[in-house]
Amino acid sequence: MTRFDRQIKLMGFGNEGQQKLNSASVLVIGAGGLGCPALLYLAAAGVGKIGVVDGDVVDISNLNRQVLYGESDVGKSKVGVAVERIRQKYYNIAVEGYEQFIDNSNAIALISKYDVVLDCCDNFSTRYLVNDACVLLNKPLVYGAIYQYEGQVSVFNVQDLNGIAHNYRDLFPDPPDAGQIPNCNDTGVLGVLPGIIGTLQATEAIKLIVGLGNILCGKMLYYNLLDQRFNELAIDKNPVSDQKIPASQIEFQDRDYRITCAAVKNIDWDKALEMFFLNPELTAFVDVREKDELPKIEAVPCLALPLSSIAQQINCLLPYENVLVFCKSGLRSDKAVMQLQQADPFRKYYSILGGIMNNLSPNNNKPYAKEV
Amino acid sequence: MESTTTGSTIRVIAFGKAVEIINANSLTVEGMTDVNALKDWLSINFPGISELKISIAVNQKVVSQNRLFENGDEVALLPPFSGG
Repeated sequence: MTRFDRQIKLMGFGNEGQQKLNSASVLVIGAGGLGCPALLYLAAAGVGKIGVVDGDVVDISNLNRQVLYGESDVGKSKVGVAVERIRQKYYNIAVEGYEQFIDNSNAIALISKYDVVLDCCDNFSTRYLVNDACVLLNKPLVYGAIYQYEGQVSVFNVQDLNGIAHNYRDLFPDPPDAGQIPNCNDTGVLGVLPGIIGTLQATEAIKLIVGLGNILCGKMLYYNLLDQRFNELAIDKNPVSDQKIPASQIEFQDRDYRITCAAVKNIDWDKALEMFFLNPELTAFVDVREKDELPKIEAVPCLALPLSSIAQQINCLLPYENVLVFCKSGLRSDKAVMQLQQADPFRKYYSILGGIMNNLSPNNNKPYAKEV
Repeated sequence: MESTTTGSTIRVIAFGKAVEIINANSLTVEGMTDVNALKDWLSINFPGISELKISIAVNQKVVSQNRLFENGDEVALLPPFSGG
């Protein structure tokens, strides 16, 4: 008997289904709330090769939903821990970790190596990037996303009964502006929600590989946790979606997928430091992460003004002309800049692109964020 | 289709952030002729809606172009989700 005995016994699955799973490969993009349950079930089901890509480290606030990690993993690479855990569970499992964020320089090469892709990320830039790469490569993409008490799942680039393959841009041709929709680092999430949605994503991947049942292609499944309600909506082929996708892989690699907000001036770390060293008296770095978030920045002086209380502490900025705001990923700093501009328009505010995630290595003149 | 000349009574169902903006899971709206008229009505009554790049489904089908309403149509407001 093998560890797959109970699924092999299923009518419509059998040895043949198991064989298909064993010879399939799945790439999970994002090892967070959606990625953790998806990885656990894909590994348990016997998917032949699993890839997982994420450049993030475990934060204490991740633990209510990112069930592969525990308290002793805080500060460690998510992918590193995820791969280790899965290898501990099953002998000889082929799981490959990529400790990096997916971007337009690595997406095509990574995705090309796998049969099916799961979008388990937590931001719009990555969702549009992964969508476009999968359309260009004609790769089945199992999409999942959450917002507060709701989640959604669909399967893109797989033909529906009418022979039409849809993608994310059929629903939302253009990305929203930065800061319009916060991610769960900002809004809160009950851990079971990504558990359910990530498990639904793994379910669709397994069905797709085995050829089981009806796939969620050409439709988006909505789930509401408060009402325990599922809604299924049919997706229409949007006439403008095709022209929104890069025409070639080269065009894809040249496209800037970062979502910028017209109202917020963004700046990269190099330019921010240049500005600081040119006029250190009148320039302030502001860390808008909450007090307990790691790592702390030590190489340059900075004011700690958490986004949750920045409105009450705005007077701290009175001595400065230039205010350089950063957070973990660049999302909350955009919001902080919007708030600050409204509250006090007499200073110049900048949001640092990519936040400290963009800055975790000791790189010559950058403010090296020390792991604590 | 006389109902379309004076507008139809439709049921609007909100998802995601749209629930917060209209402050309800659903609404009944009278005198609505088509999808564009509903978008205008929403942006006047709930200005936050027009800031979202929202998709609309009529009777469980996402529509990317304008279409006329009939009495009893169920219209879903679908803002994008990004969390994970």
